[in-house]
Amino acid sequence: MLKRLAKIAIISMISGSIMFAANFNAQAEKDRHAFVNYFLKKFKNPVKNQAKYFPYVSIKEIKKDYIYPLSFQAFQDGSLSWYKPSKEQFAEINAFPPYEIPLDDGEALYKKPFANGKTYSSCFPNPAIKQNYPYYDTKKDEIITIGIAVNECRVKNGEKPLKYGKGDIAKVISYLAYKSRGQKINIKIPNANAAKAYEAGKKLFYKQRGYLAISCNECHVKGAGKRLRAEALSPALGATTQMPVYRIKWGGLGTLQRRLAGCVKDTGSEKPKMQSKPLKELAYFLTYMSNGMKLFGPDTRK
Amino acid sequence: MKKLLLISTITVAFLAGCAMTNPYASNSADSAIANAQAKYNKAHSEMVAWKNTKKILNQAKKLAKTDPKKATALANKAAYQAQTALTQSAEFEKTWRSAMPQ
Ligand code: HEC
Repeated sequence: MLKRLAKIAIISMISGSIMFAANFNAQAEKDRHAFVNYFLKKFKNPVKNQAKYFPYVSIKEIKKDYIYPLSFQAFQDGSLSWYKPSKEQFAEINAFPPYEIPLDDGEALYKKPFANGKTYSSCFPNPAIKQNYPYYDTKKDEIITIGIAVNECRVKNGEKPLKYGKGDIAKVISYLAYKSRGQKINIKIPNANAAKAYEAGKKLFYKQRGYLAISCNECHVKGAGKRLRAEALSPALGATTQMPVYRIKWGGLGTLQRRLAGCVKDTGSEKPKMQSKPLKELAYFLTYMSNGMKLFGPDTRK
Repeated sequence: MKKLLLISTITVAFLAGCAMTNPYASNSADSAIANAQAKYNKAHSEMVAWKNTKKILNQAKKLAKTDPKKATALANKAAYQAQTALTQSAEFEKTWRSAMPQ
């Protein structure tokens, strides 16, 4: 009897851990569903749900300036997804997209041989890969962003790594993004450490910080659909689909890492280094939240 | 032997003197800077340091010799910021999950 009980206990322990092993993304999936549903509900009928979701704006203004209902994929456009005046303005700008020239440069860089005669295509034979980044490398036990992958490719071929955030690296990533347009974001959480990294990124997103004691959540979830001075706040859903972006303010291309570092600083916090562990975790979390959305970078922003 | 005793007494007295607060420390910014540095290091390692704290601390270091009074004030400001960042972070740690979409 005792023997049998012990057997059952052992079997259930083993099967329990197997079940657990297969489910490193269980919590993340739960989070993502709640996250996506929040945005779909919020932007389904802002007039009807004004009191619940948009207490900061009048019904009159919603009727005049808001675009709704928004489909899942519509959130790819950031603040342009819901704010009519911005959308119209940027439709005009994108008639001749300012990212086109740096994108062409990116293509040239992708095809230009390194000193050893090889090109980026020796690492990325199929450039339509951006949907899988950032990913958790279980061997290296760390997050690999697309910027890191580009630099690893360079180093492997005897070239110096590029500076992160802007310039040539943003151009090359833009080309990879362009070739990945239409691919659906597909971020995975392969093991317990990856789940930990996801949780750390989630905390960085939701926990208030800096001398403003504010969180990303405050502006890009609760505040998504709000006007903040001259800005219209973008929903965090879809926030990584259009990267890299040509920002008028920057006068050039910038990567997701660059944008995230700037936004952390805007909470009144010390600016984190690009590709530092916390910023990679933030990118991992944020991109996971947009799983299943189609990519369409690069794009233009204010 | 007497000599040795004397030397060791002096040494002990000297060491004790060092361990006690230096009567001139209040006029020097060093201890305020050390205190601020320790708090800043902690906030920085927990990734919660505020935007300007390091800058203020560096200003304090620069003025430590020439204007210890101002340096002390700056160091105290940096220490205050770092401490507030840490306290705030511990508080928000308890509540942040409740802000997630349900
Ligand atoms: C005080 C409000 C505020 C906070 C807090 C804030 N941001 Fe932003 N963020 C903005 C504004 C304003 C913009 C530019 C307009 C827009 O696209 O929302 C922006 C833009 C962005 C974009 C680009 C979106 C796009 O479509 O191009 C991303 C990504 C982003 N923020 C992420 C974050 C993250 C992550 C955090 C937390 C570390 C954060 N933000 C915190 C105000 C904020």
